[in-house]
Amino acid sequence: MSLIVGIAGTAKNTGKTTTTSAILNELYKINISIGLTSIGYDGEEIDNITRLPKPRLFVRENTILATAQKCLCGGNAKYEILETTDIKTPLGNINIVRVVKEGLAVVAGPNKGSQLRYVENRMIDDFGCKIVLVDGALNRIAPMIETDGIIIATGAARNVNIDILVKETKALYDLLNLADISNDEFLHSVQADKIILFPENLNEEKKLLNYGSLIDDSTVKEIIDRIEDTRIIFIPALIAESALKQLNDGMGKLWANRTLVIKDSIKLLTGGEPENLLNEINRIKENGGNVKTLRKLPLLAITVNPFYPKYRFEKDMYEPGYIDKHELLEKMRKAVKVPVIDIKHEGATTLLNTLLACLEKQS
Amino acid sequence: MSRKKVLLAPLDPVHDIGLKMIKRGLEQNGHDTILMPPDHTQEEIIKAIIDNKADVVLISRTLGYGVAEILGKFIDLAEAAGLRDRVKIGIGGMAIRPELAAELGFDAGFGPGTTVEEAVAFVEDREYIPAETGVKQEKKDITADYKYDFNNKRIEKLLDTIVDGILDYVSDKTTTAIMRAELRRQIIESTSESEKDKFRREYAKLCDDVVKSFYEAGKYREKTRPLSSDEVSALSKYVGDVNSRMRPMKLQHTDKNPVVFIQYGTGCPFMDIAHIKSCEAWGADGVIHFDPSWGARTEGFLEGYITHEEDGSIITYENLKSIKESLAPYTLWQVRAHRGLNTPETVVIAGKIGADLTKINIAYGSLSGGTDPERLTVDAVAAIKYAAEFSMPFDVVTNEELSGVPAYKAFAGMLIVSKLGLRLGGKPILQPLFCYSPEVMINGQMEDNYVDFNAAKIYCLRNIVNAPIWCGAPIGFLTQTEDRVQSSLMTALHASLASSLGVDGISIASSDEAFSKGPITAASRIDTLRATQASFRFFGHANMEPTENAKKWAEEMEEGIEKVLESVVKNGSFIDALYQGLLGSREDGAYPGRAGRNSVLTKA
Repeated sequence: MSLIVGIAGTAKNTGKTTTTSAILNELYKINISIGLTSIGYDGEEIDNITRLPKPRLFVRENTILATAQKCLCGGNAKYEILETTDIKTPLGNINIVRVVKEGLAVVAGPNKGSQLRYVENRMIDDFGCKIVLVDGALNRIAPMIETDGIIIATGAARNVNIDILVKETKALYDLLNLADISNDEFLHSVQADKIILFPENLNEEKKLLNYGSLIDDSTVKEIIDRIEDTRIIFIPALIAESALKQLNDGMGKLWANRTLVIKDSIKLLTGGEPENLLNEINRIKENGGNVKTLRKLPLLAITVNPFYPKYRFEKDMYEPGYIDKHELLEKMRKAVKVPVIDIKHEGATTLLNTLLACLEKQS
Repeated sequence: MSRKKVLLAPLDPVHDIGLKMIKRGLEQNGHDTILMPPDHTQEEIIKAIIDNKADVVLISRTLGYGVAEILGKFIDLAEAAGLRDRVKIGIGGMAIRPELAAELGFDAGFGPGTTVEEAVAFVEDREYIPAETGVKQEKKDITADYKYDFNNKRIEKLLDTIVDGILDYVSDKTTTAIMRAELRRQIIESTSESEKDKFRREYAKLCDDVVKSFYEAGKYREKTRPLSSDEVSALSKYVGDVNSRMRPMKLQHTDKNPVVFIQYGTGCPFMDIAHIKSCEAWGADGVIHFDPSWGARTEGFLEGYITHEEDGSIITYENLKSIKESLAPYTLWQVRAHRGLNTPETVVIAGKIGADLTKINIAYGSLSGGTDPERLTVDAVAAIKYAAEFSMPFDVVTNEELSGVPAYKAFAGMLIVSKLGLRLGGKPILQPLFCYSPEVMINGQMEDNYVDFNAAKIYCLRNIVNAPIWCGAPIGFLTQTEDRVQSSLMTALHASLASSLGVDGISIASSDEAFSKGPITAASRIDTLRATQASFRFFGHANMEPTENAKKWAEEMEEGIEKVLESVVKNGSFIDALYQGLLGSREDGAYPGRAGRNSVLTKA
């Protein structure tokens, strides 16, 4: 059995790579076969935007990496190339390699979901990886749907106000924990890439809209116009916060006994700010409606980072800044029911245990 | 190649100029384009991609902190909307680099300097091969269009009389420098090591003790050392690597813009070559070799790859050859021989290696360069003969102006050496100073502007003779301020003035040159080259217009030159005229040099 873990950040400098690096170190202690990739360019010495130093990933022998051609000569680890894929990136084609000499690595893996899936499958099915780590990039989250569970890295770089940060993380947590449809529900078999309006009697003819995403007025209007005959609204792609709000404004009490089914929470999270989205989800529920996901992406843990790049106007440069880590940890732990870890100071032992428990569950 | 549908969208409130240019390029290549107006939301752009069934999307954005997250979010939206597998997305902007594009999740990143063609290649799924346009590929011979006809016949006649006197005087004279030049030629040309050693032994006998001990005991002069074989091979690897990556730009905007020379001479051949390659990449047309000042006062040259701790790069056959081999084929290369005790040998080495130009001036070398006038006159005649043999034009520099010699006296000396050069079959290039010289500081001709007096010099020389003019050295010299050294703007304005006046070449400084209290940096050199390019672009064929003072001063200068030449003729001896101060006196700031005094020999 195997486990694919994504490490997503809410912003740049929230500690994604620090988290990935800490997990890697823990995994090396228990001698398990590891795959490592990223959905962006990580492992550079200096942050591309703030010019502050960034941690680089230290990889040991036999780790399987997926990284772009130009990154193979960065760092000082040495590799055996297992496959040069057709996946193109601005830094060259993606290579799947085995580390033959340990050292620092520059990891820039595939950044599209479908390409990530290909790499993960190769790592697990053909190169024997038990755990695959997918390092995030910036605030990107969409490709993370191709993992078995995610760790979210957040912190002062996202917001220096602890209360706002905790509230926002709680919203993220709630959105990732939306109820999924039960296994026997027929929707599992739906493969549509367009919005579908299902009637009361599921055997009757359903209505397919022109778009897969809910992002514009006309689609919202069309749904509302047909709501009388609709029991389930299925949205397979992106849901924009503004469109969802518009839909809620138009629907109001019409939500009663109706269900919004989304493909996964990521399609929702991509479209707006977590708190606003959660607010819209709660409005649906308050009006008697239901919200479910086709596929649930488990949130395994949250890591917090009190660091942020502080801009100094007088010097026209960034320098390290910190918020109160004790207050941050205390408030965050009260808000969510998953492990909350200050990875830099507490290490990744708790995280390792969480991952091993998941791996156990998978098997 | 299939026709693509391309959506171009600025993710910015206003900026979309780059996208408009790319749109035009794509349409010319037969693609369908949709350019969205600025200030649309990300969701609206996503909807437009879906509605238009775009194959490729090009986003433009000027980047700052936080904007990276916006762009990352855009890619997430595209992914969540199910577009990423069928739509290619590129990002362009001033702060974009491939690493950032990769981090943001785009398929390509287009940073500063991106061409329309590069974006078209991305749309068409093909590798981008940069076009070689705008890159010069040929060396320019700045003497080619000149016949050296004298308009001022009185001056020509005076010059002929003086040149007759010089040639008559030197006809039975020689020096150890002339003998060494011939031995050097034999060392270079000989294929037998034992024969080379025999010549070297003879050569050493004609040198100062410090050079003699190099040949006889292998001892290096202080502050010099040989380059190791590793250093020499690293240099060759460096040059190969740089050449393979270099896409040099062009400085000139119109055909009338002069060729631009830079000066190098850090002491270290490796550093020199790095400077040369940087300047070639940013469009310099030619480079000038500066040797150490002690080299001019030492009888004899060393051999081998030698580096020097202080300013000035040592002239040896090997050092110059490594420089020559590093040059782009179109780069003009000048090795200066204008002052000092090794003038003929410098020209022989430069000529044998294939230098394009050299520099010879008796008046400057002996009045401000430190060499005895008689010695330099005898050596210079031999050097000019070599320059003619190797078809190397030479400039006749008038840097004695920097000592305070008035332009008309310096020009008189320059014209004498030029006429001497013509008589010996050479191709002289007039090199007036184009700067804020002591003469004008004292007499006030530049109180109002830097244009008139510099223009007067060019008008004056053009009135006298139809010859190539190369302004130096460097242009804009002595306009430094403590806070700005010699600004790139000041250099660039002088460059455009030179261009306005139709001169053929200019030598430029780096903006940190002179009084910079440290080594010249590549960044400052590039700044000055870029400023020169910008100024050429700014003026195009438009000209600067001097006031009526320029013509007036030109006439006064011409009269002054004639009077000086008359005084030299009247004196009867050019060499004696130099000692007497007729071409620049002690009061002016010129002192006849003492290096090599009483060393002229009568031929056996």
